[in-house]
Amino acid sequence: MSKRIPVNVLTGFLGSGKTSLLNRLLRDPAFANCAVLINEFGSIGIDHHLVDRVEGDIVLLQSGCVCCTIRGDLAASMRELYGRRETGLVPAFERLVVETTGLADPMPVVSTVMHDRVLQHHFCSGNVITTIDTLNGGRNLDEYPECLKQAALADRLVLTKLDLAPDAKVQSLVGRLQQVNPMAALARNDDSLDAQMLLGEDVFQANTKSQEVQRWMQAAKNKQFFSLSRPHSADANVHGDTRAFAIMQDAAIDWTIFGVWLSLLLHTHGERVLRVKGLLNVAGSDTPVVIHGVQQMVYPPSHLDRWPDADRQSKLVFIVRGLDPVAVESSLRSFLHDFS
Amino acid sequence: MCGVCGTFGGEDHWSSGAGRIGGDLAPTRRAERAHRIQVINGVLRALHVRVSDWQGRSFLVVSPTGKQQVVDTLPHIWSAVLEMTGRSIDPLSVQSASDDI
Repeated sequence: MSKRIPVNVLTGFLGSGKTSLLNRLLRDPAFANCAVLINEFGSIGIDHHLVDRVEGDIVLLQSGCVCCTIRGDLAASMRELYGRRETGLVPAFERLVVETTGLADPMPVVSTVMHDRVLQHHFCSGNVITTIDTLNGGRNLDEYPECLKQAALADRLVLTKLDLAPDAKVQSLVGRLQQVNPMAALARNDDSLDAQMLLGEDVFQANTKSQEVQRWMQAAKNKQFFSLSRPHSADANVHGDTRAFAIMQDAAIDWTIFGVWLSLLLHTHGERVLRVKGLLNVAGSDTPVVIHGVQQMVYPPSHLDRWPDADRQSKLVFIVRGLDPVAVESSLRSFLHDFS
Repeated sequence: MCGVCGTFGGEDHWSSGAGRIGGDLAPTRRAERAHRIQVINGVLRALHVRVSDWQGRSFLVVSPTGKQQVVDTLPHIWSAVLEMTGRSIDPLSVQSASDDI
């Protein structure tokens, strides 16, 4: 099987600068060979008309909002695009960016890439990139659950319209984003933008996986997550009923019990588990296991070649909405204790 | 086919396999599967539902009244339990479930 093509989901609330970011990314020579799928919302494809200087092909999805109607359409568009690539009708693009509408839940797009029986052989997941408008982002996070979810699901958060917002407002927004999604790397849509960090470095590629996991673990160590394991830590990662918290476990984890527990948790409360990421010390395994999930969907776990450092503690970070961190941690510990 | 176990295919679920790579002490597929079924039965004991292996690649779920379903993965088990019994296990209140064990 030929190398699978990474798919990046580019999302962000209405007017948050997705297309401007896309234009900047596609101007980077390293990512000029990208195809782009744009979802047209309503009868006027405004985003489409604003896209310019795109080197790759643009296929406009025709059925409205990605989130509610077009998993099938998206899959069909991706299959068609891949078919045209294979027959030489379009250049052999090396990456696909799917830009969602401002109101879209990016989850179905991610799920389509992973679960479609045909696509999963030709495409693989890449980073979810969310644009946040520095001028209105704070208000949007407060008022629109769609915006909050887009931020929580992101692997990369990109601050936009930096020239319009005062520094104090930007700093305040950065603080709030770190509450919502402390594991996501932050970038700015200005001359400092590192396209490679946004698109090219992710946990799904063998050559960047370790680096990405170290980024998570560093965040887990630096941020003051709420954790039962650290009862004196500040519970700073709360935004409304959305919160991030960490579970630390010193003893090696029984993978089978963990799998049954997480499967049941996601089956029962998956809508409220926005993200889970972690590095596990699995009993019987010499190397750590990387866990990475978005709501009910968990990517195939993978092993790192080696531990990043001498620390062998398992670390699980959750971003949840309306779930009690104490109950989640107690539940995991009960399972590990009762069923071993 | 697994040359050791003699079974076709395998579970197409993220929870299967990651514990079997990377160490001399890692369990075999068959051992991991037996352990998984043991854990599942522990979780479901409060509902009097039993799960057993079916052909090394699926699960047979049996309700207290004798209803049966063959399913492939963990999420299918949880769905089958709800469908057959009208009840489900909430892992966040597992203490009450395990108290019955």
